[in-house]
Amino acid sequence: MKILLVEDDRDLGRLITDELVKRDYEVRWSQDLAATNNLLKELEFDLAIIDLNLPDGKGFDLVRPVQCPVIIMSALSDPENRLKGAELGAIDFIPKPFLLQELFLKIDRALGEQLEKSRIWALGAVTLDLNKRQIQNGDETHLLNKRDFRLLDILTTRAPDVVSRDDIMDYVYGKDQTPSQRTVDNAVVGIRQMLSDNEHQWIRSVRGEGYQWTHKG
Amino acid sequence: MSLAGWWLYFGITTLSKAASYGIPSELARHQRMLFTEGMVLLVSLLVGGVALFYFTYSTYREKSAKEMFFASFTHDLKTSLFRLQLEVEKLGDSTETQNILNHTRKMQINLENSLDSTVGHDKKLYIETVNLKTFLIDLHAQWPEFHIKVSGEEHLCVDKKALHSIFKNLLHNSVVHGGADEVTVEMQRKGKATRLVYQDNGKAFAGDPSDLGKQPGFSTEGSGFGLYIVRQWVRRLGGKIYLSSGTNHSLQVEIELPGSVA
Repeated sequence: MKILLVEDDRDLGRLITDELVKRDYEVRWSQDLAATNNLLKELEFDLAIIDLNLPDGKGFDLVRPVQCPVIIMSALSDPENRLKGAELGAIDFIPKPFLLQELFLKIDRALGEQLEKSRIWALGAVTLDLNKRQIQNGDETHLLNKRDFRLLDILTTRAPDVVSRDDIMDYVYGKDQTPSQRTVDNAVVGIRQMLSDNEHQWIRSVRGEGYQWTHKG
Repeated sequence: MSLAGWWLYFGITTLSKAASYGIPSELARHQRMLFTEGMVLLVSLLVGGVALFYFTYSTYREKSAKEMFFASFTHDLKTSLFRLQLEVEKLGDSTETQNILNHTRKMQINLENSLDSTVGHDKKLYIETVNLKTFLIDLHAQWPEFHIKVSGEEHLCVDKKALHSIFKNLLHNSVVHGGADEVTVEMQRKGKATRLVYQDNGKAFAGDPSDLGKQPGFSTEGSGFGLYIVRQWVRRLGGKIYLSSGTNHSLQVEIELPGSVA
């Protein structure tokens, strides 16, 4: 996937480019309108992330010429800017400052949710989606906190292996924290409730060892 | 205007009286007197009008200059904050980095609240259809310590910036003052309005919470300043807000906004 990043601030451009490249995106970064217009003559992109304030004009001037989905980012999140962006066809507006996780969510959404399907599990009437860090149980959506997300992350990644409580504690809480093993058990109880896993069908307790993710999806 | 009206009335009655005496010199004296008074009044009105226009114009210019200064100042500040956040995120996932990110998040909220309470009052609103679940998924990236339960209707008509500010302040309030780690958000249609119920599992405020945030207080910490901003946004959106103690003495915030999505 080719992403065009237009950001005049060198530090921000470098930092965002590095993180996008880490996620295996092919990124071209330009710092002004003129350089971007030259790039557009040679290349086509799947997505453009455009800053509004550029040294030689406004990022709005690029929304139509790029001919791909556009996410506008700006520290100026006035209604006028959001409205103008939407009118020109930008699919999303992300106010600065934001966290990378927030940007990645918007990119995934913009690129048609072309996510790893293996991170989504249909568990009867419940859907676990670790890409979006959520559990959908009937009408209720649970946005997982960091602890629960990481716990499910390690269990599903290591499945079908049994994951010890010590490994879970290190991964979920970090090696600098020392919660009791009971803390892990309580977290598992909470997740089972969200998954309606009353029979321990998806997360199995293995006596004296730890927990195992048993779904074969 | 009333002064001019009074002068006109006074002039007509005085001249009528003077005319009724039948003495031409007296009538001419009254005419001269009224003409002089009228001129003074007219000049006063003109000078007053010009002064009023000048002061209105200079206030407008001052306000524009202040807004431009704030826009430029906050742009630079937000960019610096953004750089800092990205550098911290690059360091990886640890308790220390999360703590620093929590601090930058707090700085951002305080900065935005300060702006909203000083120059943000007369900004236009941009009402659009917002998917609440998608909105909260994005917002949740900044609040990973929370387990957020969302249920009910999916869409509402609202200004997204206002909704951001409302939820950021409520979450900040829940974590800082209530020590909460779980939040429930339920949205229902109520006639032509939309009803949002927000409840956390933190500890409740001492006393009756219904008056919280009605006054801005003098600091941005612990005085209900965040809830004051929430109230301001709800008022601007034409809605109503009710604060109460929820189940288990946690805080419950009920917001009713005009308009709903069928």
